[in-house]
Amino acid sequence: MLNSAKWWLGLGWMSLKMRVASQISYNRWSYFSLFIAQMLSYLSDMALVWAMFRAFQGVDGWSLYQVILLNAIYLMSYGISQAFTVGLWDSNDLVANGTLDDYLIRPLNPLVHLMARNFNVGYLSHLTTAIITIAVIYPHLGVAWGVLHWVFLAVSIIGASLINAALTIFPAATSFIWTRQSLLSLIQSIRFSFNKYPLGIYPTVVRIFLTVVIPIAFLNYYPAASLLGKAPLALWPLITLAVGVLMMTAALAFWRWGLARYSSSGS
Amino acid sequence: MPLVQARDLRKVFIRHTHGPGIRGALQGLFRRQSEPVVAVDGIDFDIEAGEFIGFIGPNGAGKSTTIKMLSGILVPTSGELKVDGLVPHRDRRINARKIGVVFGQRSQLWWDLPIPESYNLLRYIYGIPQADYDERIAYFRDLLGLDEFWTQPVRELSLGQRMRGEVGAALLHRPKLLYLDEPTIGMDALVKERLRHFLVDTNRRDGVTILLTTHDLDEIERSCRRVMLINRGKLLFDGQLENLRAECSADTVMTVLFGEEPPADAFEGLQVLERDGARVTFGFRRGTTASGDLINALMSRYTVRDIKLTEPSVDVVVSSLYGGGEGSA
Repeated sequence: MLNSAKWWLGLGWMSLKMRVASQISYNRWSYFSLFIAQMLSYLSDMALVWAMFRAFQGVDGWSLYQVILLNAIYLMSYGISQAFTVGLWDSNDLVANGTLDDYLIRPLNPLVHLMARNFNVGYLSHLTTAIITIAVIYPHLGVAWGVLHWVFLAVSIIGASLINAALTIFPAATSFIWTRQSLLSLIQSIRFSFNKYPLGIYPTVVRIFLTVVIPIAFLNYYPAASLLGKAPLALWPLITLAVGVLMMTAALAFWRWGLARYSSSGS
Repeated sequence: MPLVQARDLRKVFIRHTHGPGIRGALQGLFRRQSEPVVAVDGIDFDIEAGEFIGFIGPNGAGKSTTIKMLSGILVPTSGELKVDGLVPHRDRRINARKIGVVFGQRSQLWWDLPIPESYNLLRYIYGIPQADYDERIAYFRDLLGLDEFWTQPVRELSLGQRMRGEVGAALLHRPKLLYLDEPTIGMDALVKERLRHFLVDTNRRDGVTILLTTHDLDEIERSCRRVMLINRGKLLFDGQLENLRAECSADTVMTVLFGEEPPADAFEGLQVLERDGARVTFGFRRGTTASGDLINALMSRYTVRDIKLTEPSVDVVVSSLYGGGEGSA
């Protein structure tokens, strides 16, 4: 298990170096400038929230800085999960153009191979942005976090990353059924639109939808509520982790089912 | 025991269809109509270790589907398939170590990097020992001529250069079997010849069993002793190339450009493969008809401006095997 994890990391590292070298073969600054552009875009997002809330003095009992924390936690889990699953964005092409066959002729698990081959260090920009943001706003949060708080923040982010990854794997696997699926874009826009503000501002129907159907409320709202003392500390981070593990297990099972269907029906 | 055994191998795809236009597309959202498409229709064959087989047939005949079943990518709908004692799709990963695959239309090389970068990644994936890897590389650089473009990014290579790199990539881990799916599409004769030379060498030297898919008969002529011909999912012929020629009603094709368009009934008793105005393509057998006699006969009756003799294309072979064309010479 440990050996195989080391082996996959080795493959990921080699692929990463090759992908950076590919990018640099065109323009040596393009990789770096993309990184900066990503950071600027997310920092300006945060600034927008800040500008809006400065006028309104918080919402649904959440202060301006607490809402920014919400955004930063989401960004971190999105960056971590996306660094692995970004290769799945081409799932339509994988099936339609038969690129998947190039993975299936190798003696490897095609999904892990796909992730390792497309592992993208560019998402460090999301992580960096989130860490800078948290460092800047922490004094304004009005909390004094102990070690346990930081541990549960880490637990929440691991759980949220699993949920985010599952939310990419699941729609990507529908490519096996509908060769031209657009579910992935739909989920992408949902997770980006409904994550910026506390869940309480939405009508009950939407709240239930975001908790049960596409559970993106676990990505940041619930864990942040615990971390900010609006709920018992251990409660939501642990539930988030459990939801993450559950969703990931389901997404992987769905992927395997879809792959088997692909090779038997070849749609 | 043969290396590959296929018994009554079938593959049926389900194709979803909908009616024409936007209306049809919208109806298709609710009621999906599906129809089975038989890609491979119950074929039997054995492949012995060390064989070099030409797998020919027109486009859409079922060649790629067969290769994908052999590779473990596709699961057969029914029938039996064993490759070196394994069921490819069930033991896909073990099977993958024993095979090398080249899909002519796609690339397994990294587009923006020189070939050795991709090879190095494959070395890692297959766990090839360094000494063995170095030996392979030396062999490829020499006999595939990779040295000429070893440091250039793949995107700058010509089609033929890239394909030589692809073949090396597929053989790096010393597979027992090499499947080549239309590797020479769009290549010029010189490049094809070089690749052919390499494949024959690697087949003899390393005993690699090769299944070469193509719709170009010329290519098979000098490398493969055995030919399997597939059309509409059925194996029409499996045997020596000479015997295939013997079974065809045409082993030679002659295209004649006449001075003016000949009358419709002008070539009674001859096998006409194609008519396009003043250009007429005949098929005949060298054993029974001398091309000189045929040319004399045509020239005595019509003005002939140009004559071209060629080998029959795979489509001509297929149609002359079954269906027979219009009459025989």
